Amino acid sequence: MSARIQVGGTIPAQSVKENAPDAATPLVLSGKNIIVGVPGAFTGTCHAQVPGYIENYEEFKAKGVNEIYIVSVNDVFVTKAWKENLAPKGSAVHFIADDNAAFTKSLGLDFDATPVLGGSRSLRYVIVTDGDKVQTITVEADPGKSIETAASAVLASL
Amino acid sequence: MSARIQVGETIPAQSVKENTPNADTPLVLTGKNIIVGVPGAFTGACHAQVPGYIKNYLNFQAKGVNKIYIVAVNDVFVTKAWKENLAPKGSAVSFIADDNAAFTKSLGLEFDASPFLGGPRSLRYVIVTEGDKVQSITVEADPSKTVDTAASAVLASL
Repeated sequence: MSARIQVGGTIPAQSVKENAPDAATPLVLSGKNIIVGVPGAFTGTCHAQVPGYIENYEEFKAKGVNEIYIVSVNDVFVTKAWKENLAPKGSAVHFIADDNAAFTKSLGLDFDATPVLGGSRSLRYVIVTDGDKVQTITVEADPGKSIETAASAVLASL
Repeated sequence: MSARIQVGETIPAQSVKENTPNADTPLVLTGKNIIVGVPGAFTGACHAQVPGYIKNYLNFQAKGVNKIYIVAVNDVFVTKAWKENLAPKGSAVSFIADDNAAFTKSLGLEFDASPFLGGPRSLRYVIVTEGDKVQSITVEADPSKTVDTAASAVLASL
């Protein structure tokens, strides 16, 4: 397991999926971006946390954010279905499938969720990037809660 | 990896999940039951195959089937969301989360779906049980196709 990434660290260019199961590329990170790690698509807290990012997308853009990436250790079919469920009319927020957990592990932000979810999953975190460097990182102490990682809290901090 | 289960053998009493992430129990297998293994919730072929079992539930019951179990290596939040997506008004068909693949592996019916889906997944198969013994087993040679494992084919064979 990699050490947890710190402020000033470089986000590894580890490939992930967004639209297709056989096309993996690294996240595009130019300017200011937000990466939101969540333990699982369709799980209660994630299902309540993510809409805040969808609803506030324009406010985030107004504060200079280019892209918002919601990253979970799920396959791309599940993340696409989740996005469709949360944003039936579409959204500029990206739902990223880190299906083998490689990206999450490269950040040192995985945890063993085997009892509840069957394997390794992402902690609940928010990283604000400057290019591909970590500008700020907030990790919820309890992955079952979303306090500092709520969209309103992150927006206020920008 | 276990050897693939054969006709006449006993389905292992390996716990799986259906309704909650922290309560797992083995499948209830009395009388005639159908276990349908699928590679992944929300994936194309599975999404097309499973409705046949939902629609034909009463026809299966008329042929003496007690329970129909759709089993996928997904967590329980995903399988519940998938069931809700395919059967918004509910269904007596059970959607089973084999989240750590233990049940699927105990049958020797898993395959490495890492390139597409990130990890081990279930092959596409149908087992008809008599109690907990395998009465018949059909495994699709190509897990992305549904030929012998379509509901209509299985119904006709009962």
